[in-house]
Amino acid sequence: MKISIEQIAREQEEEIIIRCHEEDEEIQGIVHRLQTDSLVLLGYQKERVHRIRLRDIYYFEAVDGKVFIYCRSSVYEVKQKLYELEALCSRLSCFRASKSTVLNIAKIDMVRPTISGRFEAVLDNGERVVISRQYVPVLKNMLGL
Amino acid sequence: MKPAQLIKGLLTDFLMIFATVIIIITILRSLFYPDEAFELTTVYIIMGFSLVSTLIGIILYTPEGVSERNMRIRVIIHFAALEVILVSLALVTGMSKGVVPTAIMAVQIAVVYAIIRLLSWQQDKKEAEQINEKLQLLRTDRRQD
Repeated sequence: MKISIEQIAREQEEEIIIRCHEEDEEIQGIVHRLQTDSLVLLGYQKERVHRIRLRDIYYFEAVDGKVFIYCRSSVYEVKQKLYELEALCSRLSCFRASKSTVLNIAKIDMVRPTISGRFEAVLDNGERVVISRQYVPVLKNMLGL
Repeated sequence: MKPAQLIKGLLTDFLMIFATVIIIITILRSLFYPDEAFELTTVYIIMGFSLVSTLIGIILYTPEGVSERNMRIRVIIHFAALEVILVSLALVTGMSKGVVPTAIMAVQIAVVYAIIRLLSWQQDKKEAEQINEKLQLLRTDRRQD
C-alpha cells in the first residue's frame, strides 16, 4: 500500500483520506485506530488540565453528579455528562457497563461471574468494575457475539 | 432501575415461577398420582406462593453502585426471607404439619435454591468464557498491529 503525506498550511484543517478499492475489515481497523488515537478529552486534576487520549482511559464513572476519567493510576474530572461520553466513545471501544460507568473494552483483561449473580470485569491494571446483567448483551454485541 | 422495568421483571419472574411449578407438578402427579384430581384451590395456593416468592425478589433489585459484599448479604437475606415465608405459608395452609415435615420442606427449599444459584452461575460462567475468548482475540489482533 502506498502511503503519501502532504504538508499543508497552518490555517488549513488536518485531514486523513484513505483511497481504497473496497472498505474491508482492514480499512475499518485502520479507521478505528486513527479515531481511537486521535480522540482526546480534557481531564481536570486540581488546578491542572490534562489532555487524555481515549486509549489511555480505562473507564468513566459518574459519582454525585460529577464524571471522572479513570486511567491506569490516575483519576481526572471531566466536564461532559456520562451519556455524552457514551455517545462519543460508543463507536470506538467503550460501552455502558452500568448506570454509572462506561468501560473501555480494550482495557478489560477478563470478565467473570460473581457469586451474587453479577458480572465483574478485571482490568489490566488489576481494578475490578461491575458489569450490570442488563448491559452484558451490549458488550457481547460489541464483541460480535 | 426504572419502576416500569422493575414491574416487567417481576411479572416475568412470577409467570416463570408459576409456569415452572405447574409444569413440574403436572408431570409428577401424572407419574405418581394419575387418578388424583387437581383442585382449583391447589392452583390458587401455587399462584400465591409464586407471587410471594416473586415479591421477595425485590431484595435483589438493587440501586447502582452496590458493592459485592452488600450484594452477597442481599442474597442471604433473600434466601432467609424465602425460607421463612414459604414455610409459614405451608404451615398456615396446612400443607405441612409437624416439625419433621416442616424441617424437610425447609431443607428442600434450601437445596432447590442452591441448585438454581449453581445453574445460574454455570450459565454465567459459560457466557463469561465466550466473552473472554473474544477479548483474547482482540488482544492478539492488537498485538499483531
